[in-house]
Amino acid sequence: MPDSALPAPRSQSGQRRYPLIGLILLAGLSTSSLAQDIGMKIIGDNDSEFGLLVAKWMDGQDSGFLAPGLIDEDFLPLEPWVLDMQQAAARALQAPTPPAE
Amino acid sequence: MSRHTGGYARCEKPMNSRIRATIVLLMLLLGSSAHGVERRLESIKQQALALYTVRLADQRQFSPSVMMLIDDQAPDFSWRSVQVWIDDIALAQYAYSPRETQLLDSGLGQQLAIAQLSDGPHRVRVSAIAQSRGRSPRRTDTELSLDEELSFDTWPRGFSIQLTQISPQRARLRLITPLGPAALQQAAQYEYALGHPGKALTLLQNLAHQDPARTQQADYALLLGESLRAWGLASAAEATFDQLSASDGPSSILARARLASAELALERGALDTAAKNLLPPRGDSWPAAHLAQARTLETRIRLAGGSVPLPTESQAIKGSAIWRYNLAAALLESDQDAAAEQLLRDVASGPDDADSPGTIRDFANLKLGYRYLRRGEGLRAADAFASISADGPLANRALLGQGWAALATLSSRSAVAADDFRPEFVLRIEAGISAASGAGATNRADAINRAVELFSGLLPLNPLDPTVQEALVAIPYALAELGAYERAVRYCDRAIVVLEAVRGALLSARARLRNESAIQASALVSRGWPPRPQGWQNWATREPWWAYAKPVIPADAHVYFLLQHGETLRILEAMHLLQDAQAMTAAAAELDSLKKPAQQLSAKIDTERKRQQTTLDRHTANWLNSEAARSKRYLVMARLLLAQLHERMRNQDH
Repeated sequence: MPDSALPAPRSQSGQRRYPLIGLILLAGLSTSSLAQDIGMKIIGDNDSEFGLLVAKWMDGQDSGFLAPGLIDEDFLPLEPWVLDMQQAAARALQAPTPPAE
Repeated sequence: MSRHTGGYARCEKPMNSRIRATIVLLMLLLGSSAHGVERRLESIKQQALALYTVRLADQRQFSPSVMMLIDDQAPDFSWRSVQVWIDDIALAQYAYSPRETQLLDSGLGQQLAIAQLSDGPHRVRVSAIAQSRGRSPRRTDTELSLDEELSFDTWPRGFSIQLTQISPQRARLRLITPLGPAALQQAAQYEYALGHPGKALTLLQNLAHQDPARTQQADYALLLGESLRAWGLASAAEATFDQLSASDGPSSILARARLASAELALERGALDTAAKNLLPPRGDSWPAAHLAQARTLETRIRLAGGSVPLPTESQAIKGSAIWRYNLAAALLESDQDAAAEQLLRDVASGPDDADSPGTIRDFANLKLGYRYLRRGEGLRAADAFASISADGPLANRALLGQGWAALATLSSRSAVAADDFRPEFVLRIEAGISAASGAGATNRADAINRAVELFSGLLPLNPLDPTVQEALVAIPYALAELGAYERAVRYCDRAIVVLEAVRGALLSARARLRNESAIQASALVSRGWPPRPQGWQNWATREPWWAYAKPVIPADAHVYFLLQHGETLRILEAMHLLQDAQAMTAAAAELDSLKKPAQQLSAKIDTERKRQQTTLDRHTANWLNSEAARSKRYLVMARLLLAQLHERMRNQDH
């Protein structure tokens, strides 16, 4: 497979952002040892939303926790054959429900 | 004797004027309005079909092909499986799925195989299992067999294996030769109903050569148009429908042709043509069965034209649930929210639809639920989410939505500034939670407990599902709101472990994509349609990996979710159509005079396959990126929440 089929390699600016974000994170926490305790190190990321998320969290620090709720529903027309195939796929994969923890 | 089963039908007859007319019609229909990839695919399909047609027309007598059809004429028995030997060589073996049996029961036929046989007598041996119809305790299997000498001297060469009955308790097999045109058309209808329009087209072409007069009949033309449309030859289909609706046939068939033609015209943006086709056939009024679709289309045409339909009009629309759902989507597109929601409520509370039982209703409820949530109407949202069936494909999303709805009942109606990062309803919930105090405190605790209860239903499920990821983070979040810090920390730890594993699996899948495709599309579609990756059947029996304390995610675990994506399915469908085109081209290449164009077309098909595979790889990379980004967002939330929890617990201690 040609390399052009893959997403562009990580940008330089993206690589440089991590230490900066790490600094912001550490500044946000009162003790740096705590950060290590909870393993506050995220590796292998390359898109810009990370910084956005941290910034939002910092902004809203006083008003409570940041809620999840990232799944948003968009309204698209349905196609019968797509639905059929998704159902067929779901049936093929039906696994027994594991016992609750 | 060479043979191939399940292939494309071939029979022979000298070319006559009507066949020429059919070919010329096909060639004339080559004009197209599609763009880019669609344009290329359409041209390949048109060329393959034209080559195949020319091959049928040019083929002289004494072709070695013999077609085998399966037919059910017994009102009390159904086909279960069949095996055929000719001259002691096993030619076909087939077991029928419930859907296939149902189609055979309804009087359609199956093209079982094509064999290459010489002239003269052949020994045909058939062994079959038939099942008596009726309710399950009375259903019994009967073994049937047959051993006969048969010559295939009369054209068209072929025979049909018919299941007949002597009495309600006894069935028997019969061989019928030669094949009649009705049998071929039933076989085409069967393939069309099973979602193999390419194969249906080849059968219809065979039929046109065997009995050109039949091509003038309305039911033939309707099936041809529908198959062309399903095979993605929209302009050819539209021309066929137009020709049909101008002819005189039964008014129900003319009505279907007009509606199909109007829909195709609407899809390519020709609103005037679409509106013209919506005039009922023969200047009469619409037959009752087609009135609903006509009205839906009328509204869609008006919406596409930018005019606003009256709300009462959309309320009065009846008909198939999926039409109304898609009409609601079109209404929302043109900012007519009230009419759209009314329509959605109709769909959500409506009866089951025969075409897709329950599923469309679930979709309507899901969309309604999210719209209510966004407006902060928690109770109505909870109702909508609770109406979604618990064993359907949307069950997880319904559970998640119910959890959010439980929290949203707390929210005040105060305006909250929109935030392009989180959906508005989450902000509302946050505002509501922080506003509730004093007398509302018990309510608040109850609501949060209820939400935790609902979210925990998702915890033991596959964490590659985004709803499960959200629940993993939402639970500790809600527990922290209750002040149950220690429990929250435990759930946070669990969420971090699981999300790390998910993320690791997604990133390594993306790294592997540099060397090999996640989905080999042509191999997948050659095994069957709809696609079923090998090994899926094991998934149902294998112990679920996500139940382990530290999940070890199989390398192909994401493939299932990737295959649920509409874009993936679209590319796979294009591959499937290319495979049909390849089979037609291969049949054409058997004729010397067509060898060269067939080879050229075959090369073109190969190039297009490679292109589609590249597109699929690119799409896979994008999908993996976006899934990894999503799990990263949840992971970051879990980590930040854990940090805050530790802080709060420390502050409590001091």
